[in-house]
Amino acid sequence: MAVVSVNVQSKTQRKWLLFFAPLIGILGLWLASGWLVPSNLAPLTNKLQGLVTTFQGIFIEALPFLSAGVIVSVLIGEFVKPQHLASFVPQNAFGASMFGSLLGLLFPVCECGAIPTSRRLLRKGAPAPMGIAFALAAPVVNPIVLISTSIAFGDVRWALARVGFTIVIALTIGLIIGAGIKREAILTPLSLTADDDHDHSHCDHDHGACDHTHDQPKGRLAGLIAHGSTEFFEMAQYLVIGSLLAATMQTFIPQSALLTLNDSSIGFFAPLVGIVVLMLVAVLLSVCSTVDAFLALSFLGLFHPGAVMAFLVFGPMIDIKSTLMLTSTFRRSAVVAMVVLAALFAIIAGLISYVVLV
Amino acid sequence: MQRQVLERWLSIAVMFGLGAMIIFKWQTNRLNLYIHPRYTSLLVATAIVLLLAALGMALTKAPAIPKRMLALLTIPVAFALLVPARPLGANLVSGKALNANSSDNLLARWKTNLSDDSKSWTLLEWTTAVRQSDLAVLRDKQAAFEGFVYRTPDLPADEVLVGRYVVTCCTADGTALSLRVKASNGADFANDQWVRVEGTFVPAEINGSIVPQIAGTLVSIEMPSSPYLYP
Repeated sequence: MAVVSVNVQSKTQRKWLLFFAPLIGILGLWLASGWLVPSNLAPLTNKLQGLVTTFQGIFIEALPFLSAGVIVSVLIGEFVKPQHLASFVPQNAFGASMFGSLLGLLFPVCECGAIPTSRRLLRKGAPAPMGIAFALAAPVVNPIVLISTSIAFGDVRWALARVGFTIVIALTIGLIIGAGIKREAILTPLSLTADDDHDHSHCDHDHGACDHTHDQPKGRLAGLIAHGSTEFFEMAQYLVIGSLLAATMQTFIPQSALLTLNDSSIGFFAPLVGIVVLMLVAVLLSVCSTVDAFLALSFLGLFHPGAVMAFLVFGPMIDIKSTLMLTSTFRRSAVVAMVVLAALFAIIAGLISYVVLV
Repeated sequence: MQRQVLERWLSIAVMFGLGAMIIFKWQTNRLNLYIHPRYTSLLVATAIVLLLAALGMALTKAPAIPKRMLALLTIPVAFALLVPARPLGANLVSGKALNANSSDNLLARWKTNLSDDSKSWTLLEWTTAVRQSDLAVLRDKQAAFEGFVYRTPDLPADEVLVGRYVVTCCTADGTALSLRVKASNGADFANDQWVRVEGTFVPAEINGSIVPQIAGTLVSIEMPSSPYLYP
């Protein structure tokens, strides 16, 4: 009964959303365009144009990395066979999780790319702990981020600590959530679909039944384009929502408010407050992991090194857009568990760094 | 059947639109309103991939994209078409200016060595100089830098703040810097007007504390081709 009532409720909610979202969107677009907007609404137009600039900044900057991730995913889909994967992926949970957290070294992708790749691997039959560990670790555990972090901090120890913490955290979360549980309990139907040659991924789960006539695309290239474009749109929709949310928060919540919080904290909890504040900043900014080291550097001095480390570890795993993207691959309950555990472990990593690095 | 054909072409149009949007912004020199110039070539390459993907979708029988995704991906294209491209400006300063304390530390990381010729200093270098040195040492140094005008409610009519954003990777991390300017023609400039400040550094005493300030005139200019500063 409970399940039925929830469904009914979410259906009406969806109807309202379908009605109001475009309406609000058009209203916002009109205000932002400044076209025939009454002059007393001009300040709002100004704010909205700033919001659009921030949105385009996040969205445009993430596009190359998202596209690269989709290309990697499509190539895996085309050239890696499930039996290949089974032959070199350890089948025990620990081995699989370890493998997943290190696999990023071979696939240099950030969070926008890691999630489609993770889902593709899961559909090829990769064990769940491996998929989880890869999705969380790959944005940091890859050569590009290692290099950019070393360059930004001018100190390879920062890069190594960042990667080390990330591996341990991703490995642990992969084990906690993924080990000893049925794949069905944590993966969305779409990431459970076996990925064979006859791919139905473009029959989106929200799209109802797959009812379009199947003109089987001729040739490999046609198949690559069909899969690639569908996956691109599917991931990019979360990027759009995430960038919109992040840009809205940045426009209306002053950054200085968060930083003041840090300045005013004193006493025993001071290190903890710094850590939590920078983790919130990471979520809010939603900047790509391949470029966030330069940003993190600017926080050093303002925050203690433990807080900066928490920023470096937590930001790539969890931010607004990546959390939304995770829901494409993992069930909502699993995503919530990932967010909570990642936050908890990032705080611990921050506290350890605080003790060691101060 | 008709509807499926329409949805398929809409999917292709949106994919094409995303690629075309980037190429257009690049060609009209607007890409740097959003991102650090070091990513420009990466973005142009991405745009080419997206345009090729659109072409590929048109030539092969790629399936239509579900409507919700299409609707969402239309947003960035609609923004590019309908909303005038504007750099971060006076409108967001309140959200993006760090407090004095924090910009202090930011600056310490960003810029350390300054040339002797203060007329060549950008706003970033001026702000660094103000933080690093004794204000008395800077007195009477000549200034000639660019920025946009904005105001806080407490400013007298002949004083403005001239600001500029520092961007590390994209507009999401833009941080506003500013310097107070006392100019006889200060009242003539609206918020967000780009100006060139010409004057000398003369610290002012306001409410008992010494505040860094430039005294001089403002000259209206076009927005620089690169509106942000990069540390």
